[in-house]
Amino acid sequence: MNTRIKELRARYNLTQEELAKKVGVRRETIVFLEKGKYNPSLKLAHDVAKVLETTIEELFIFDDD
Amino acid sequence: MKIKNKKDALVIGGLLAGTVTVLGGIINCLHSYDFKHCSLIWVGLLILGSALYAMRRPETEVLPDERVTRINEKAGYVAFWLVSILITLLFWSDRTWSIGIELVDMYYAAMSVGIISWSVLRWYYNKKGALSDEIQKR
Repeated sequence: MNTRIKELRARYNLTQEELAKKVGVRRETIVFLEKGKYNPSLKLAHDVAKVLETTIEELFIFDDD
Repeated sequence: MKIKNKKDALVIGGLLAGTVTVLGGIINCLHSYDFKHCSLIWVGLLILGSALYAMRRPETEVLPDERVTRINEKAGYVAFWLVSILITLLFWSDRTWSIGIELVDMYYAAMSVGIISWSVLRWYYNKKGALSDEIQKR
């Protein structure tokens, strides 16, 4: 699983800390999300997408292979 | 110190619980000459240390979120099975070889294995990051 969180976060000049605060999670969770090492709940995925003004489909990229 | 958010409540609660436990430990220790009764002091100091550590960290690094909840659940699940297997093995070996294990020893062994394995597993899953390996492998 790949994500575009880092890219979009940079576009909005948000730090990991700020994004974590906005969606109500720990900073480490954002770190793991960016690395694609954590599968978030639908609610968290929705919250992150909302903050970054995008859709879940655009934020999380799954390899079909 | 004013309670402004959940972190402050967590820290103040920890400081209060730690202080009460230390004081309880001191009172308990003064009324008993058994060294074991002084262990509450160490528990209290541990709680105080944790609260002070939490005080220094930013809010988003202390509060439990869904990842931490999942880690706790998974670590608890594995630790439960470890304790169950241990108790079964101890009962089985006691019946087979008549080792003469006391119920109290079994209790201490189960508690120690449970707490230590839960802590180690929590640390491991926190470092590992991912919890759904099957999704990662796809």
